[in-house]
Amino acid sequence: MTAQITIPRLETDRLILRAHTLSDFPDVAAFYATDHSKFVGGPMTPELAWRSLAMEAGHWLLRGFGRWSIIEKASDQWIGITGLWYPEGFPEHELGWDLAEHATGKGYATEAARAARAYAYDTLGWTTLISLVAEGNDASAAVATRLGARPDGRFTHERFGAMNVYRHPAPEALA
Amino acid sequence: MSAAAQLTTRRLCLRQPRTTDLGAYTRYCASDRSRFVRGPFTAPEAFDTFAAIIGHWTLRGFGRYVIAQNGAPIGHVGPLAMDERHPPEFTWTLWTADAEGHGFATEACRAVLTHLFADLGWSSVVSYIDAENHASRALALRLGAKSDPAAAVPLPGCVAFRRCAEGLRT
Repeated sequence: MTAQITIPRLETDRLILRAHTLSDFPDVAAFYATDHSKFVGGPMTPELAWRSLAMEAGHWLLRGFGRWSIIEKASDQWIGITGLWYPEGFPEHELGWDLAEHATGKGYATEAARAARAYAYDTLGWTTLISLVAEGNDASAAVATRLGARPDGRFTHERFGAMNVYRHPAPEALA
Repeated sequence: MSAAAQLTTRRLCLRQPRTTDLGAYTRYCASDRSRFVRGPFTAPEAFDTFAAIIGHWTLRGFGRYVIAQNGAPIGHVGPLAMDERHPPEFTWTLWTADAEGHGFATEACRAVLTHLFADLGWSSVVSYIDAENHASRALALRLGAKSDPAAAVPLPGCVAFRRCAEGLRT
């Protein structure tokens, strides 16, 4: 059978973080279809969105960790992606979040990312974590700040360009 | 029905991609051999593509196999389906020049096509081949595919080859 890794399921007050599935594709494609995704590689065609979803799934097997689909408990709807990201070309382990436009303004990104960060620190034993925020992505910078992360220089990715590095508080500072 | 995780031929093992294959795949992507698929590619691009090859298996239950000869990865072969409005695509690639000229690609392609048609009941697959890639075009014909000049192709300069199940479905 297909090589598998058991992807943990995380839960917060209002959200569930679970492995991506094929049934998430219409929501993922819709997310990447509009200008709302311009800071995270979009907009892109459905074919490239499918490739992106497959890449997210494959990252778990290559690295042993990765990103989750975020499900809103109240509606059982897919509302975005958060998790731990370290593809080739990234400077260090990164915590990222992408939220569907209709789900913004409710603190969901902060709530989901906080759970992913706790998983990195408490379960994986990581001692530091950054978030990369594209120049001009003020909403994402605000989430990083709410999470207690602070600016820590810049990083230029070969395709995504210049990004601001935010460094999260160390585990002991959050305890 | 999911595809077999592993297929064995006379000289080759076709198995699901593994983390340890990434180095050889990245070298292929950086080489001139990837020119027919819009390469060469950087290491970050190779990682993303290889992750997507693995993730395709997770999401769909089938995907492209790594071709291993004496335990060493020498290429990849198999179906992919990103857009369900089109028939699955069938691809093959040898990662190094050393792997060419032994009939490995033909042997690997036949094994996977037989599995898809005879075991899984698929009806056809399509390959898109750069018009200048004469070795691959010749292989498509050896596999029994027919060129389909009228078919829409994803890249300019490509020709579509369709392989139907006839002859490989028992």
